[in-house]
Amino acid sequence: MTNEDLVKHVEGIGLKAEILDVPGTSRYIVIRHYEICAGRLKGRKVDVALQWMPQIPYVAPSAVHVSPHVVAMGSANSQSSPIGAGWQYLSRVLRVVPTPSAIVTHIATVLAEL
Amino acid sequence: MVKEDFRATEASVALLEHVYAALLQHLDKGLDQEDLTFAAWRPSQGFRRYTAVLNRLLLPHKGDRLLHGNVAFMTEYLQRSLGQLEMGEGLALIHGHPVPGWQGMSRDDVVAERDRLAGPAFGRTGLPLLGLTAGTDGSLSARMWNRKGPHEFERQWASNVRVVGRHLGLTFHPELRARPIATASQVATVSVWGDRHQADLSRCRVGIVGLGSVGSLVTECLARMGITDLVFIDPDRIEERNLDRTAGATAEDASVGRFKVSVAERHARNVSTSASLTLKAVPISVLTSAGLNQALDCDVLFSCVDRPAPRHLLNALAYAHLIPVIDGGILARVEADDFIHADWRIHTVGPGRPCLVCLGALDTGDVALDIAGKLDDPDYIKNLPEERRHAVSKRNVFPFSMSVAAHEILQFVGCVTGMERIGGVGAQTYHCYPGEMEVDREKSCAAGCAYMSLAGSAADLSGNLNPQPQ
Repeated sequence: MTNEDLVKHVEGIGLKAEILDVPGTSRYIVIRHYEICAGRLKGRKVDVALQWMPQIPYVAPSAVHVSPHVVAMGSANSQSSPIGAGWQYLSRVLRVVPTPSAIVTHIATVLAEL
Repeated sequence: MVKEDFRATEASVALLEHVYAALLQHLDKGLDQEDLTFAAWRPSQGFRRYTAVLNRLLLPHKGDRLLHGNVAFMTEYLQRSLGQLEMGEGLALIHGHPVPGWQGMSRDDVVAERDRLAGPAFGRTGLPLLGLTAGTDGSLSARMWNRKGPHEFERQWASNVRVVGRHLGLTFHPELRARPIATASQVATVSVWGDRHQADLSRCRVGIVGLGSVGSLVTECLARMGITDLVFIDPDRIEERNLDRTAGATAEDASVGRFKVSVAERHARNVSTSASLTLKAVPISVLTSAGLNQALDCDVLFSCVDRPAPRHLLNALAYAHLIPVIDGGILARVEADDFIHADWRIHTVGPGRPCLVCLGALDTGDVALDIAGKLDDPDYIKNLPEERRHAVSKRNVFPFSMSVAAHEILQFVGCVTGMERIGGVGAQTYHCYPGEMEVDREKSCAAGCAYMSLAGSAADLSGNLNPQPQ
């Protein structure tokens, strides 16, 4: 898979994806107004960002970035995000073969388990 | 690549084993009839070597060539083949000769390639025409026709042709990569696998990525075996803590912080049995453009690094650029200063064999963590689950490394000579207790494996370099 495949998949399931270039850090795929579908935060809408990964073959990023903050900073393996102050970095590794649908499921799982 | 770049480079050709098998089947028309085919190739650019990665045949249809003992192609076949090339692909012409070994060229061969084909091929693709000749013993010889000026092309012979699959089949140019002179100190070695295999083994350009415990031992073994062309890639310097497990390293090396590649170079030169040793010590990471290019110059690579990101790169390189990679890993479990158990594994990856991820020897999640810099974060490692903590602990002792290095060398010999009775028949896992080796004969890559799908693509792997922290 590629970053482009992920964007296409996200848009194909009805979500809005944008590319965000953060000067001095990296490029991100941002999913706007993502609705958390289960868990403590069910129903809340957040923006979710995944780093644009240049590796060949594709390597899924080791973190999910979320805005606004969803946990107390420092808890639940969270830390500040290089995207900006309004964002929170959640360190979460995908341990299956990366595919667009596996990554979308990963995002849903990470946010549902907070 | 523009023509001027070729002047300083060596040329080589690599092709997939299944493409080679289809080629031989097509060319086999008996001793009285030659045949030919066009093919597509992609460029793989190393530091000093330019490899044509030949990945598919453009086989002729009925009426595409004149068969009259000799063979000639029809213009329509050439035009159709040029039209079938994808962006970034070059054209190759392959024909058979009724004699064995590395082939020279007849006047007719030169006219066909230089005067009839090189211009249209360059005009359509911007790449030189690649010419290959197959001998009756399966040998392949090759040359590229580089543009020298308007309507003027000059021949550059390839130094070798590599057929890459479970076995690495090699044909060397008899002068550019001449058969080394066997020395008196190699008598015992040659007595086991013979002159012919020794000639192939000793002429391989072997790269060792990581000159720590396993890499330093692999180096010593290759040098003693008489390998004549070695490339060492490692940015690290010797420290005192390395002295209990690095062959050839001394306390003085640690005190002055000598590069590991320099220590390996000195050690290799001290123990080499070769009459002539070409050795390149590269004190940079394989995760840099320069480091990657040095790796792309090699015929075989040993992956003696324990970090996931470079192993991910080497795993991709093995398939995309058709360079077999021999890899190993040690997992030692120690709890509260008590040794519990150790396993180690040895495997060769590349086309025809399962990749590191499909073997379970590399976790792409760990690759992501390495890229993000998390494997250098003691707090992060401390909070990992126990199983993951063992996996990233990098505990090792010299005897474990000696076993891994020995089996890696055996897999190298097996890969190059085709002797499974030395190299074994698959990925190996050794369990210290009870003391047994498991061999996985059946493993293959999962359907849709992203590494295997790169096979023969010569893909640009620079996206794997210089990981940026998230």
